[in-house]
Amino acid sequence: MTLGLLIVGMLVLLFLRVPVAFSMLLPCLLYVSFSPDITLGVALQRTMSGLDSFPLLAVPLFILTGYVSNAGGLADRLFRFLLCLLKRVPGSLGYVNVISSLLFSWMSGAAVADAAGLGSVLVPAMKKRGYDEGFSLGLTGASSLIGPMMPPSIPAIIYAVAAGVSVGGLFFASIVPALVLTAILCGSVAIYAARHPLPETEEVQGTRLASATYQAAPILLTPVIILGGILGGVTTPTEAAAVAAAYVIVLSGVFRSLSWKSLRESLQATTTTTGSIMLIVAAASLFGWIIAREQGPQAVTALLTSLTDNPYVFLLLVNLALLVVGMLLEPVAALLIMVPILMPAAREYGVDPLHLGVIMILNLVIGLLTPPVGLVLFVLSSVTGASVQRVIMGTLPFLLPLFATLMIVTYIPALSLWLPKLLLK
Amino acid sequence: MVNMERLNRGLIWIEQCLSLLILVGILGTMFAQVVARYIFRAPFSWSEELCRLGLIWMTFLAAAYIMAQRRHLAVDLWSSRVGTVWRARADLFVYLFVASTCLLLCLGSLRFVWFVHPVGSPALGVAKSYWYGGVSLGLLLMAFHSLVHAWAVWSGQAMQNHTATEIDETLQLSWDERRGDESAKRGPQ
Repeated sequence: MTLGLLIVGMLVLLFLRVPVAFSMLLPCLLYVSFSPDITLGVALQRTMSGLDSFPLLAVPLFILTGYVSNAGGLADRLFRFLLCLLKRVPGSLGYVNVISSLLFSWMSGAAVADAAGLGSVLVPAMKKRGYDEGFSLGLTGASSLIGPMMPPSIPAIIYAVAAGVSVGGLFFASIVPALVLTAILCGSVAIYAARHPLPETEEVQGTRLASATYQAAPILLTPVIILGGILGGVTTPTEAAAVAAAYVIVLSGVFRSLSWKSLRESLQATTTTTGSIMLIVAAASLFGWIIAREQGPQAVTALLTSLTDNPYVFLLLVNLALLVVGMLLEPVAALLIMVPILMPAAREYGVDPLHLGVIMILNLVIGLLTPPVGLVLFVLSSVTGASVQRVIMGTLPFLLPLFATLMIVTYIPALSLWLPKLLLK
Repeated sequence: MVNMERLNRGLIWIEQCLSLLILVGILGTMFAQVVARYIFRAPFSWSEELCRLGLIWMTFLAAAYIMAQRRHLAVDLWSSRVGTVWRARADLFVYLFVASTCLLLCLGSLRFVWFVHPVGSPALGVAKSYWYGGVSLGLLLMAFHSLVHAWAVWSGQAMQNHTATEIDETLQLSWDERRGDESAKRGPQ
């Protein structure tokens, strides 16, 4: 009963446009105020303890890496390198779009950064080369979801902290699923290129492959620093984030593509994004604690086990629930609310926490492409000048490959678990 | 009211500067930690705790100026379908609601913050009240900015429709400026 009131209260406040963090905080504070055995001091303690975590420090540092990479023109250099490399392949710009997102995702763990950074370059370029605008927008939006899947992924860090699993483990668990998504999106490009006449050779003014490779090679060292550091036991994920951020700042400085003004703006944008996300983390910490105190996870587990004892059906139900939640809530907030509820039930069904993490992240990032709260839709509309309706229509066909990826990742756990088992023995 | 506006802008400037400096500090400390461990073979014992303290202060200072800029993540399902008056009424409710939530938690937990003051953190020995104090100060600043907005709505000053997408407005603007694409500067509708 209390739990139901808490959740209904939160949903009503969300509907009234109260910021997500405060929609979680007030029902919790009322709960605490009416509980005889806990005080508001405990509420403050729980709120702060959500942030008092060393792995969470990686979040602002990876966000900074993404912003500096964008502002320092590193995404541009990757784009030019891929364009030179793939220019003779039919549908080359489509492949460049997907693979640019893959490479950029090694520096940025957020889909919006990818959509904003690459969308403003790739969508006009694709339209100019005869690609349908809807296809260009849809592909850019769908490929931007590789960012929060591939390490360093911000949702992965949040999930790892909320679920108490290794950040490095989840980073490695999400690599193969992100590559599956990349391959499926490349398949979509191949089908499109086979059906539509597209120019085979696309010129890149004043850029040769050797020069483009020389300019892109140092950027490609970023994932080596991040994953190599973690895998080699040289750095923790947080330290790897700091080294990667320092590396991209120095690299942008060496390339002379980052002014002091751009650096200051990137730092400010980082504090802004971090402040938004971390306030939700803090509020969700109190919310999660109260849910656990009211034995919410046990109630959900009992409900699910009464419905089915089949783990495949359980995973299907989880997918359906998360897709709906993802349509309404931003992935970080949704993860923080859903992880404490679903984790005990998943354990009951024998689902590995790393596998569940990958499924949850993929489900919730698909929500970034669906109305009414699809952040990527709005960002793409803003940077390309296309109407939101046009972007939605363009992304609709790409939900099919995304759902196909989701099903593959859900029902083949080895895709998520093979790499962590191999590397983190 | 002019003084209030000046105070509001001054506070936003201070919050932005402090949160930015803390971020630079966290980056520098974490990087120095790696250098100290592998080059000087003398790792710091205090760096992790200092950065965690920095994260708490940075989050709540940033959350305060984000509140002032009305850019906290929210779910907007209906505001574009109603008139300005109803939207203003809803905004007034949101600001008053946020201010009361912040004040309730901040003032309700003051005794606790005072109570934990003598307790020091393990590595730095920093009083625990400074850790919780960051949260309390941030909540107080958010309440202040919300009340300023509430007053602006109440007195009929210009209102804007802010949606969840604005979290990345800064990113978009900096990107647009770099590209020199003025047309892309308009915010999401």
